[in-house]
Amino acid sequence: MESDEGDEQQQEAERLPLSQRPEWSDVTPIPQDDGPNPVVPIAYKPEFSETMSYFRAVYYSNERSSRSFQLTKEAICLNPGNYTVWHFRRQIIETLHADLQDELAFVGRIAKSNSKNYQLWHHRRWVAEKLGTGAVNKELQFTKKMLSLDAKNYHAWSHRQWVLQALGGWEDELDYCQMLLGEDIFNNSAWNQRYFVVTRSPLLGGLIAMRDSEVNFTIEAILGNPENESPWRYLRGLYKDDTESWINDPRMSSVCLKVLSTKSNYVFALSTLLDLICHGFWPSEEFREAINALNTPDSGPLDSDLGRAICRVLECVDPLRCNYWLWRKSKLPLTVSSQ
Amino acid sequence: MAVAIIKVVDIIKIIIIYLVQQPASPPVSHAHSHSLLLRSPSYSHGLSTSHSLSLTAVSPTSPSFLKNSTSASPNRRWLRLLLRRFPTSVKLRPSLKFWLKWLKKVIKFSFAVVKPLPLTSLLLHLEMGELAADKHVKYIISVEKKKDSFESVVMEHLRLNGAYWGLTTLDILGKLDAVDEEDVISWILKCQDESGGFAGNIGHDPHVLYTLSAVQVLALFDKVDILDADKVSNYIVGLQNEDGSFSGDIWGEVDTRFSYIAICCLSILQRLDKINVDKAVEYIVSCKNLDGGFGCTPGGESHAGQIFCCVGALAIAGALHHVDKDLLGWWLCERQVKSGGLNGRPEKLPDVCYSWWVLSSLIMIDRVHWINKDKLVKFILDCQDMENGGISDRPDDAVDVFHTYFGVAGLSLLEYPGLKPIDPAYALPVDVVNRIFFSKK
Repeated sequence: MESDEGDEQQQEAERLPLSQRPEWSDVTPIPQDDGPNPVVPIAYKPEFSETMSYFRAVYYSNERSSRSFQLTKEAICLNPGNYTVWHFRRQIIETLHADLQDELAFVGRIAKSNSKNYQLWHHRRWVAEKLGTGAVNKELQFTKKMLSLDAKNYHAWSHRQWVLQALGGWEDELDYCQMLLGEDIFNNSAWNQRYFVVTRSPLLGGLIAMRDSEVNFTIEAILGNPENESPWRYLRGLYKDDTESWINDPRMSSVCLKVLSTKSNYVFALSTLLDLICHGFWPSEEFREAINALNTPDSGPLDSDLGRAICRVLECVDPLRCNYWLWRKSKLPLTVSSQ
Repeated sequence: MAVAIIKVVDIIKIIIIYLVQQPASPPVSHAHSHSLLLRSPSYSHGLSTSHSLSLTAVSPTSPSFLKNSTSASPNRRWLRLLLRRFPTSVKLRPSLKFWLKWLKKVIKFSFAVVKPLPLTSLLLHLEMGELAADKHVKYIISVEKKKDSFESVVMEHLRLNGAYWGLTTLDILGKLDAVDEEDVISWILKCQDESGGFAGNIGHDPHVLYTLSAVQVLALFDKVDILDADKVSNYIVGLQNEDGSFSGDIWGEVDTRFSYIAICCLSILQRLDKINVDKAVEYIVSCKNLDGGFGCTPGGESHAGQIFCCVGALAIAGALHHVDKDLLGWWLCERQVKSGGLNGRPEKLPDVCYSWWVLSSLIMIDRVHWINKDKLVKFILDCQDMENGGISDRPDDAVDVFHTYFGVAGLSLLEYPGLKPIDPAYALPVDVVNRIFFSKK
């Protein structure tokens, strides 16, 4: 996206109505048919209706020429949600063998103000697919630029994942995730992408090979912001399908203990500890002391069963979800208790 | 001391309930899942038939939403006698309102020593606004009529979606007869393409998005029969890919949204057997993430909208056993933020449309009691434009038909009084869905 949308906006300012352009003199525009008796006559921009009327004319006559190609550009700029215009543009591109790099540039110019438009992103993917692996760098650059405007843009992430899997370019992806998380450790999309890279990149060796370093990174992130939902889930995901290793890794319970000792932002620490206990982890006396020390109101006499004690605290400090914690309490294995 | 306060507070609570509350509708929790329960084998698995046919709470883990507010029966007779001596109307008088406000402060203070649950619900009922149903009906009809407004024109390519949002809302509000059925149906048929699929409006290209809306709107009017079901289903069947996924149209965009659309649409047309259902399910399951949620494609971030599509598709296909209901239920209930609204992903802002996507997903996996329903109702009601009608994504933003539909549908799922129950998987009123499946041969 080297040049901005100035081109498109400038064209609109200098725009000559289609009816006055000599190259369009042979075409009869077709107005929108909304059925009989529309209640109120025209209340919208005349250039919009004119452009769409001329579009309908060339669309129905299936005219795939350079003037209709230009017209689709104008129509898209006026109403980028109109998917039929995008379709017709692709048909024209195929017929005229239009330059695909130019097409990428066009999409790039209008992407900023249409960052969540499904048609735009699908069109981009269609062009990139035609270009093949040669488009890798451009696509990674493009999505990076879009994510710098909105780091959680779902379309951008979806496109980026497609690029990596279809065209390659995994080399710098983990570093990119690292950078984004450095900017906003709460960015759930970046955490998701990190998992995507760690599990699917052909260059990194797979989840188990990466597990150790990833655990350390995640724990650091948790300790920095224990109220952050994403790293807790990520931590669990690192031990996917391997519960045994998960409960036996001392770092899992120790991070919970560390957060509990700070006595603030401990909801996820408690729920993680609860999960560990439910899967067979035996908590030592330190855990009981840490939970006693939380000193929440309404704790009453603390349950001898640590799992139940945790649930009671959670019902208190996370009242929005108290029914969930009540249910967790009802599902606790009966034999669990602290040593 | 605490026990004494509980007793006083309980008596006050009973008085307030009796004075203020509208006549309670009978508990109908799971009216929404009624039709789904009977249809989906995964629900009836392990449940006795009488259990699954019951209209009251199905499982011990899902108490009736209205239970807390209708608990006063043993004391009511005593109160009736008392109030006959001191008559009052259901509406609040100014002096009573002032008294109650002061009382609220006292009760809030008592929170610290009393289990808050039933009282929170009570206070929220007092603070909550009302649903401006008539205004919303007027708003939708005005949008339908104003075909030449700029807003209407720029959305003309998806008018069929707009028709679905507007008309389903009207039906939920009991006002579907406010539109001309024949007008709507003849226009819809003009949107059908020779491929069998439907376009967003006359003169546009077909796409599954509009095909589903067309079939759903016809279902509202009980006119699905006028379609050539084989023709429409062939269009959809042709869009299934080898890996089981579905494309949106001939241009090949793949997304789990389209898996839901295909399965839902074919199910309504009673042609679900025409696709490879196992492969379709396999693809959806491949989009399941470690948090229990689903994305648009394998590896895609879990997002409430995509989750609705995947869970809905699995529910209709009878494959809900692939969902880790406890894990996903927790992810979904974590979407509720302090204001009571729901967001679509961690650390994002709440939006009324998630009242539908998160809520319907929770109902389909039978975990809806894990969120605070009262606070969500309040959030949705706060998003209304009380003067001009319509609902927006967040309080004080501009309204649109899309959010009006999701707000009203969400309130229906929350059993807000006066609304028709809506099926969480088909996103159509329950009576419409039952009509499709139970009144045919």
